Amino acid sequence: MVFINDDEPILPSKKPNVPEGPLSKKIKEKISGLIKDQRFCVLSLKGENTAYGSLVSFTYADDLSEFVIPLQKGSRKYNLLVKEKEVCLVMDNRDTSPPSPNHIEGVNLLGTAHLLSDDKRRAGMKNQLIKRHPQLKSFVSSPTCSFFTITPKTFYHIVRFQEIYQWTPES
Amino acid sequence: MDSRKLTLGLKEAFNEEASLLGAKSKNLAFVVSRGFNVPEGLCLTTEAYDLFLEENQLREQIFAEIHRKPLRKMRWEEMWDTSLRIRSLFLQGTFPPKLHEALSREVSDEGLKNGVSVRSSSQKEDHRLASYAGVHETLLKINSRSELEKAIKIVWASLWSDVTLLYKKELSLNIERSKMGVLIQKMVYPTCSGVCFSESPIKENSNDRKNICLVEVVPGECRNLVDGILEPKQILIEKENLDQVSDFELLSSGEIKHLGEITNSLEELFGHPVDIEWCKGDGVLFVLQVRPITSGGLFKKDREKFWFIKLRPKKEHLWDLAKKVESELIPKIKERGEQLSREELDRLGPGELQKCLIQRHEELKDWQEIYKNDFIPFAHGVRQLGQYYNDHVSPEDPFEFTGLLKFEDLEATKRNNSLLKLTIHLNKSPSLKEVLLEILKENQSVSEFKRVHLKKILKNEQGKAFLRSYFKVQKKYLDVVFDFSRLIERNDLLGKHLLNLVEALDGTKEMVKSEGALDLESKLYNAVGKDREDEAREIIKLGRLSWKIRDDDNLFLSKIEAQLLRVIKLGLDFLNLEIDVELGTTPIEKLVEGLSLALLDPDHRGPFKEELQKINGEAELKKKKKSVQAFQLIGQPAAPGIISGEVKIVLSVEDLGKFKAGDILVCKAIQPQMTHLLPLASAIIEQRGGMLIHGALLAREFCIPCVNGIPEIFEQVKDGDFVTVDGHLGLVTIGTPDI
Repeated sequence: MVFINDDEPILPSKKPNVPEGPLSKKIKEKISGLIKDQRFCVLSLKGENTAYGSLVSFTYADDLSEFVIPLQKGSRKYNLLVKEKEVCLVMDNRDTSPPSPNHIEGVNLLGTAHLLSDDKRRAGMKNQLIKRHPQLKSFVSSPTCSFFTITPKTFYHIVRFQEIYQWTPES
Repeated sequence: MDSRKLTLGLKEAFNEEASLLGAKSKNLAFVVSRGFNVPEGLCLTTEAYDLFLEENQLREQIFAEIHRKPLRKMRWEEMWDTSLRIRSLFLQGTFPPKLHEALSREVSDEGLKNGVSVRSSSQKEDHRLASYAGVHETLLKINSRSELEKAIKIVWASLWSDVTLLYKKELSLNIERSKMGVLIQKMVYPTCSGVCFSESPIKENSNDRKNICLVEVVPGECRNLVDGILEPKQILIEKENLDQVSDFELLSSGEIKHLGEITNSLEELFGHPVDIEWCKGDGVLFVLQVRPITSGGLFKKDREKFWFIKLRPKKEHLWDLAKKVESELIPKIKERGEQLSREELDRLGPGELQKCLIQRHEELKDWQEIYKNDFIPFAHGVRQLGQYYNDHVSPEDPFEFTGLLKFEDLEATKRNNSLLKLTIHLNKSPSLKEVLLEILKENQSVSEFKRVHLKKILKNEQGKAFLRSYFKVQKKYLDVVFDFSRLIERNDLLGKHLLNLVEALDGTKEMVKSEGALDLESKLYNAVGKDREDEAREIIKLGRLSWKIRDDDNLFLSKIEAQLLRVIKLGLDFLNLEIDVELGTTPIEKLVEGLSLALLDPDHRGPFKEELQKINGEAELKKKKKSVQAFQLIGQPAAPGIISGEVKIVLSVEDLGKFKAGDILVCKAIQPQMTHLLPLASAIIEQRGGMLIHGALLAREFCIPCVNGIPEIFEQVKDGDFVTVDGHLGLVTIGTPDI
């Protein structure tokens, strides 16, 4: 059994389709608060008998139902991702947290990636990415840039090194 | 609520910090507060600059541009490209509504009717250690609100100009720090203007310089002096004897005395020697700028190192240069090349050969100097066209204007078209093609069509007509140098190239016709309006001429170089120096000097041969340097498109004959002598960077991707490597993309 700040006990849920209750809402808020100021995350993936990690920029839907990452076509991560869709995104607040490691919060997102081919949605995602990452304007506008959506299956919210909360969004 | 101070009247600003006003406004606000005449002004603070950046999310985009590659690795041309992209970002940015309101309030319609000047006032300029003199923009005679907002954007953007970046690079200043204030002033239409130095910077006055003021005067505006349009008249004044000055053309003795007094007072007030810009309007002497005297300016100090600063001649100079280059220098260099190539040299003795060698070497050096001082600066016409087009059209792609340039008239295009005709000729006659294949197979290193080869070709039905055309093309276009070899002597390479072209005839790429140019012209004329259409037409004309000449001049200069090489080869033959040296790696000065001595004195022949071999050995050693293998390299996205293929490095003349259809051309920089390879190339990678260099523009014309500006490219790829060239993003990925 673990506790969140107001000492309200929760049981980490491993079941999918758990209706959203006050506790999951709280974790969702915490995750939202953390990633709001984070512009980059680590994309972890596997394939071709190898593990792989890469720092990527991202944007996301306000309700955390979808994350989007832009990748250069033909890059190593692009080629792995079109073959193996199960990925993990790692985000943390090291850059904004106070010096103590105990203040560092992290999020692990496990999800499934899909190459976005719908032109209308691509245009929308492009604008959203530019808004969040103005410096990437020429990159995301390039025809050699592709967009992957990642649909989260499970979030892990980690605080004080070892306290871990799991949130599985309702599907 | 945002409490930022966006604007401040010059009269009220003297208590504010330079960090808010920028140094120029701060200095002038102080001068106003002490009762000197300064044209009425309004300061736009650095907070206004911040607001613009924030509302347009520009800071991140600027940093993405300037950090595309380390500044120390950027050539000046790449800095110019970077600054053009940044300037476009500024011009496309939306003017903050709050600032728009403030300007509407502070700058009256009446004031605009008279015209205003918009001047830079960066935090760092006018400092004792780094004056940034002449580095940032000033725009004059602005008289509409839309022009005013555009002028402000241009002045802000000049914080990131090529010269500013260069300045910061050379002084190792922090590239990210610094903000730009702007000073808007009522226009004064002066009868004369100039600068005053409170200590004379003239060398002859060095013993007594502290006691001597120097006044420089030009008729009209001060930019006539600052931009070097007019030579100023100089007046020296003894500080202690101001009463002893006399009238001097544009200024009365009283006015000269008054200028001396102003300068002395300002030196005292600022506590160090100053130079001031001044002007005289309606009989009043105004102070336009005050700054500490620095030691001559960074660029003036090291003229040789920064010679490329001359590559930004002003519009007035460009037109003079155009006339000189087009009607005087180009016909002269062309004619001279042809004259030299006609000269009979085969029967010259050693003394005559030596004389000819020295003469041709001297002549080449003279032309190289002209190339540096006139031809290269004239190439700036293309840059001026780019800036003008972007300032008025604000296109999404800052290099859209290159579509206005025409390629049809270039000498290299004419040559390529002639080669294409020869290819078609060859393709129509399979038997002739067979003969050529046989000859080239017989002796891969054949350097001349030997008599026997000629006979074989002539025996063919189509042979005579083919050879006639072939020699015509050769004589007209190929007496040029590539990698220190005369192409006219390398029929084997040309033969191989023609066969490669035949093989790929259906798939060769052609230049895109310049129909799009008409659309771009209309776009520009609409943007500038009817009143300025003629001006736009002139700038397009200048840009096109400059582009044509920058390509042709290389070929004409190369022809002069070929004529020197001809004598060198004859000299080496005469001395029976059949040594295996790569002439291209041998410094020309050493080669000419050694050969000259060896021709005159047999005792020098041995040491000359040894020297050549030594130099060649050193060059070989340099070539063998290796480093860590890269996976992906970043350069300039010079022409869009993405393609994968095999690398073919073209450095030596031998490489010209090995280039096959579909190869990715990797070279130091595309030269006009090698553009005949482009119809076969699937992409270009150049070591040298720049969006307006030959390779970049030609790749756009041929619609093939180009990435340039990768200094380490030759360490990282070799012939046959599989690479992916992403011309949209400026990336070269080495190895198969699928891991």
